[in-house]
Amino acid sequence: MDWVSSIDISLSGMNFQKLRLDVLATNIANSHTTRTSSGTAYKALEAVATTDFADLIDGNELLGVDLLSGVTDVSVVEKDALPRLQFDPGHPDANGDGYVAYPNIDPVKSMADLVTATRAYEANVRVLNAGKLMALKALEIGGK
Amino acid sequence: MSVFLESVTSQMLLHALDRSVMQHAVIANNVANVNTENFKPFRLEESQQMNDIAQLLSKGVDSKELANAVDRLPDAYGIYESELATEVILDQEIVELTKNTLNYQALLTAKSKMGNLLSQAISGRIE
Repeated sequence: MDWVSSIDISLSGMNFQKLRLDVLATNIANSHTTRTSSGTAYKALEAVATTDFADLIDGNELLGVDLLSGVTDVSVVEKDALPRLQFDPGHPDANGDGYVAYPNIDPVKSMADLVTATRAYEANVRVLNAGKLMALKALEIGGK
Repeated sequence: MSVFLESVTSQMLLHALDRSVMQHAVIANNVANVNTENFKPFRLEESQQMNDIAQLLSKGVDSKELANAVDRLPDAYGIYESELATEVILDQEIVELTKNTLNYQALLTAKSKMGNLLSQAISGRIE
């Protein structure tokens, strides 16, 4: 187990949290987008990370440390949420009944997700710094 | 194994240092996967061999028995999914990280001091 792989693991975590922030920013920026190229209102996106470790683990069998690779499977998916309907007959995107469909993006939840994503990013940075500190200290062996 | 430059103590030190590096990788992986779906935190398996050596030392042991015990130290340790936790708890992982970093630095200091002892023995001078 060398130091470079540990740093790569932390980097994968940082990248995923940054992706979460980007997705969040896209959602908030589009919170009033009533029509996309697909014709419907904007659908909120979500960054999802999955792990396939469960397939490798077989009962009580132990795995090797060199199998650790951080966050591997990342995808951005559309969340299926019903749009928020608002009565506004004059709006160009109003439907037959005069309702306009707005994306169902909860600003409170978005802010809470922002805080957790930032905190998780900071935690990954903390781990990376600790690894760097340990590696640097090892280089000092034999010096004054 | 070089009789002059290596001893059971330095072997044990190196083994503990290696284990500390593995522990860091496990913690890094847990923190990176804090938001991964269905991910349960991993732990490094306990070192039964190190516990045995600690027990031998506390009881008083001759050097041959200790050397045999040190030879039995494994090359690698396995990781397992913790049964207690269902998700990664960041505070817990950062605490483990802090303990591991301190442990590693203490081991490095011990290794450095051992090196100093050796160079004093070789040069015959006490600095």
